[in-house]
Amino acid sequence: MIRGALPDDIPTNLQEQILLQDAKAQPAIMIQGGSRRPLGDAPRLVAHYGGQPEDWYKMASNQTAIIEGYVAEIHWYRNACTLQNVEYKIKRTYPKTAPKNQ
Amino acid sequence: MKIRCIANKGADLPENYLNPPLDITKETEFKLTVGKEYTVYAISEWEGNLGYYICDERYTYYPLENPAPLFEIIDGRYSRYWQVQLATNGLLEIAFEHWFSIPYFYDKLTDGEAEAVLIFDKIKELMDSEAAIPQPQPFSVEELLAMPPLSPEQLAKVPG
Repeated sequence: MIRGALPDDIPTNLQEQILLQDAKAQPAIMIQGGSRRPLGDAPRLVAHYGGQPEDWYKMASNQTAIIEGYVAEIHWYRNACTLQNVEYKIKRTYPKTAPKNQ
Repeated sequence: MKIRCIANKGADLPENYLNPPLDITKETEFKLTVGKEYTVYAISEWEGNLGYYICDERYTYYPLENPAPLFEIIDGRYSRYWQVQLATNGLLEIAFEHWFSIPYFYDKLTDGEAEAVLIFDKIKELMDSEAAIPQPQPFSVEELLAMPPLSPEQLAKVPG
């Protein structure tokens, strides 16, 4: 069963909001996709936004931001034929904690 | 395998590496430091374009592919953790075992799925340690030809 379209993430603070705005305005970084390495989500994207599976790519923001102990970046999907950008997500990476001694 | 960055701009790339719909243009500035050395965690080749997966200056939790013409190879040793796979669509990749054995591994890693992130963390640690081992001096032809045959006991001690 194919999941539905996913809404954009909502920023939880000003820095995330600025990062999201910058991601939409600036050149992005291509992570993967196309016919070379199709996305696992490609069938879902085609079902909801159209195009062919090989049209869809996963993109990342050029910038990252360190916000109150975590690193944030933006990921989304782009149709390389229509340049439609959809489903902006805020990826938050928290520092690893050393395992406690038993 | 280690590489050194020799350029970090789209203008330094051959035309076939440029892809404006994906924001790879002559104006692109890659998140790389010229002169800096990077460990290579995976390699891919697709329609004549070669890319290295490295932890560049933007690294958060996954390696990103960067075009090979931006680098020179400074340590060409093949990692002991690598395998080669030629996919049916013509994509040639050299990477660690989980990259291939776990379906959509790189997709899951870049999505931040916990298991994939932990696997890459560990592989990165292993490959960084491996890459830090100095390259042995190569034997000259004369040295090789002058070597006596190895005994079975000596052969058994050769690291696999």
